[in-house]
Amino acid sequence: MDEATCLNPFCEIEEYEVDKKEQVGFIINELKEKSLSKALEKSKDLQSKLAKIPIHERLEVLDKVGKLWAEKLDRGEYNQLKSFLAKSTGYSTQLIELELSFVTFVLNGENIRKNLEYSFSKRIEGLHRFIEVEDQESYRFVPAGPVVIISSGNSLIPPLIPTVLSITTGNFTILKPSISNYFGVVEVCKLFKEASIGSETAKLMMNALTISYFTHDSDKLKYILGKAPVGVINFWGGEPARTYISKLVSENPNHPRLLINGPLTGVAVIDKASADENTAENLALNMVLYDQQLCSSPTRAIFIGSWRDAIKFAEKVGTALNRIGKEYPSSTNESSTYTLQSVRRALQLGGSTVYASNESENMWTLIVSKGESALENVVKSFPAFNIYSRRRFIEIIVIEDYNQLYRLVDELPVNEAYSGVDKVQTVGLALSNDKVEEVSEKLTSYGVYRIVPLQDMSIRSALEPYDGVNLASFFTNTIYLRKKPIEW
Amino acid sequence: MNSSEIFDLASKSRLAHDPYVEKVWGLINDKGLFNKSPHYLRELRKGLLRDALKFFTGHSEYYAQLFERLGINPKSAELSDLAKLAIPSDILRGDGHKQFVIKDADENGEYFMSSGTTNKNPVKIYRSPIDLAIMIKANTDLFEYVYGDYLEPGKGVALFMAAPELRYRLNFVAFVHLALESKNIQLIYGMDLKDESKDGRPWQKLEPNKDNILKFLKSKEEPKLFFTAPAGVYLMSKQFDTMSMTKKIVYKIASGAPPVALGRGGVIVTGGGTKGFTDLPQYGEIVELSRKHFKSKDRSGVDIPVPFMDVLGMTETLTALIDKFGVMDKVPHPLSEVFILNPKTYELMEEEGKEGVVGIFNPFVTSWLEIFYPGDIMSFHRSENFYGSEFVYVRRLKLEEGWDLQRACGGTLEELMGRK
Repeated sequence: MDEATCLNPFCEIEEYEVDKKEQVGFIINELKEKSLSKALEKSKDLQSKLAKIPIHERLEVLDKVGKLWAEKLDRGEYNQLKSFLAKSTGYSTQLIELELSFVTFVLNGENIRKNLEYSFSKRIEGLHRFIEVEDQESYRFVPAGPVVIISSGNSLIPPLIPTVLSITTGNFTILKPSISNYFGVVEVCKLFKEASIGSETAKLMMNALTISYFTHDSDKLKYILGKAPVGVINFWGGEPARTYISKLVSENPNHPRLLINGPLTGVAVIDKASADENTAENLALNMVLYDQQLCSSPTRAIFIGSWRDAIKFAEKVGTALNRIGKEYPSSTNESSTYTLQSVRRALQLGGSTVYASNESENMWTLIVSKGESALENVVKSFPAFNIYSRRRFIEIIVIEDYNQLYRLVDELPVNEAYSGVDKVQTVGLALSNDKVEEVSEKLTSYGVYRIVPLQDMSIRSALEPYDGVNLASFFTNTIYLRKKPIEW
Repeated sequence: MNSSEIFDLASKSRLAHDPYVEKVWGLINDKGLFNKSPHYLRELRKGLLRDALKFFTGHSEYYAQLFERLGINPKSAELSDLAKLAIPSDILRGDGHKQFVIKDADENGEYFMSSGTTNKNPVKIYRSPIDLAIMIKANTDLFEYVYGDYLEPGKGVALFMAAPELRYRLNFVAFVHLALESKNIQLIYGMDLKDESKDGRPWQKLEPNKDNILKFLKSKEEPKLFFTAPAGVYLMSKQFDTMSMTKKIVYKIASGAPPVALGRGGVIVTGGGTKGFTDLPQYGEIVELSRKHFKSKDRSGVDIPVPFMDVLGMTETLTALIDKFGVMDKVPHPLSEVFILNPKTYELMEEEGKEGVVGIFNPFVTSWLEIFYPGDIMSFHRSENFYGSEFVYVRRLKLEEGWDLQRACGGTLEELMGRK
């Protein structure tokens, strides 16, 4: 087995020791409890030092790392990584290229500054000193960590976002990426080492980061979650891991706070007035990007208008999918093809109109159903066709009245076809201007986290919270200081 | 129901005088079909497809709407339309078949279920008396064609390594039982159904009935027909192969075997797949081993290697595909259209030798439009026989549970992805 398939820890722990395991075709060197414990012993001191560094200096380090990444990417230094990630994640090389270009945005100091400002009510100086918020009353935002981040996704961005926010807010951070994105995450973090030449801040930030893979049944993972002196645990993923992790965390005598970012999905809402080629292209692109496996990817579309208009729109989306899908070739296997083809037939038999492509590298499917989702019944016969397996597949449910829209958003999390996702994270709107405000206002009662234009459902603004939570706030404790007694 | 009752009920069916059903019944009773040319039969099946679509359009609003949605006109339908019409057998699990059965279908028929060895809800199919009557006729004719001889009524004995209760559950058992019954050939069941299992998987509850097996072994009737799963004949042969000399002698005295003398016209008929045995050798090896311990003669009494026939008969097909080892690969009934779908596009694939997903259309089934693909990979090659081709079973489709690629933001920990 070559070095590329060996998952080694990435950390600054002196003389660290590992336990060697073999799992799903990889050699995994897990950090031993002894080494983890050694690092955690020093974490308090490290966090204290990091928390005293002016926040703008920390942001400068991020900027530097982001620039280093962009330069290396331009020079083609990550070409080998691209091919490796395409294989490990199952995405096309074209999509991986796009993904690697997003890293620069995650590490953009200005973007992180904005995020911190909105997380701390524009008082980010409080991250390194007390700031007076009222007469003689002050706030100071101190690291709540050590922070443990467990990221199960295969995209690079979900583990990088919390990790960057965690170390920027001064936390000693242990990151467990997924096997598929491990090498990408480590490549990014290696740049902190490069940036630390001549920069004490970068060195401290580098020292605050430990990356290691642990298998789900690892006693080291059990130690970190159930015993170790940590302050925050942030898990990105769903069942059955969520329950397993929650149980362990609940037993930890140090009572770390637990934040779970569960699997979510997206819904596209289109009305007749907006159902043009442009909207069709936007829906198609969002279906193709990450093969609908992002928490913001549209996996259901709701069309408000007549059946005839919906059919016309579906045909436009089909044309767009033919073109855009080819730019991001995807792969299928015997099992997924059988299931997909069978589901298409089952839906046709049930009365839905089906548009589909049989191009093996671009197998898209559009289902047009009247008023209700037809997918749930079919998924009962084909349980393998769950939300994790559906790619480039969307059901367009046609309704004639705006009021029916909210029910379709509301019922999605309990619909068996969506089993495995917690909620609708993103609603992407392509509506006539006079309807956007009314629909957005009503959607606030249905548990969604983001309401954005359909065209860029997958793109996050720098100041967005994550699934309803400001992560930077979650990774810190607010110390309150009052210098005078309250008169009462 | 026995075979006479089935024929009686079929003749009284409210559909019996429908022109389409009359036509089908006439064709099923025409043994001359096996002497027609492949071209003649293909044209006949094309005509039957159009007739069938018309028949189902007239008897069911559901089918009328479906054909319209699929853009298929019954008057001008082509065999290539079968690719569009074929349904995956997985839809027929549980109560899935109900939606396809026309309202006019007679109610006093029988249900058959798959054995449930795939760990899923079994496929459950309703057969009306008229369909059961067609099943008996068509399968008997096909069996005799592949067997290469006529089964004389009242002559011979058969052993089926199944329990009698399975006659009312499994298609293959029912077909053998009813066909032999209609020929007045004695059928002995070699297994007993013991405990009622919790999840209703009949093959897990079977135990050999030694008395019945002995009865068959000792019988002087000819021909002896031995029906079994491939595992049954393999395990029996292996047992003979590893018997000590003393045990062999004792067994021989008690039963006359080994070797098992099947007599003139004796044959071993396998069917029903592996039944959960994952370490069975290739079929050829099973035949080779078994021929050491089972003996047979031709009609004139000359010793011949015991003939092996294999029946591929899913629950959802009224008639089987049958082969004869070393003589012919699998052939369907002349009225059945067996087609191969491209495993990527699920469109019709007509290239000889190419492996694809097998689909079957049985135009003679009158209670539902029987066009389906069961999830098996097969190929075909040209042949001089009535069908013009023979089919080779390759394997079951590999269907994965769980998911193999992680979600972008996170589904669950990777090692747990398959355990949902």
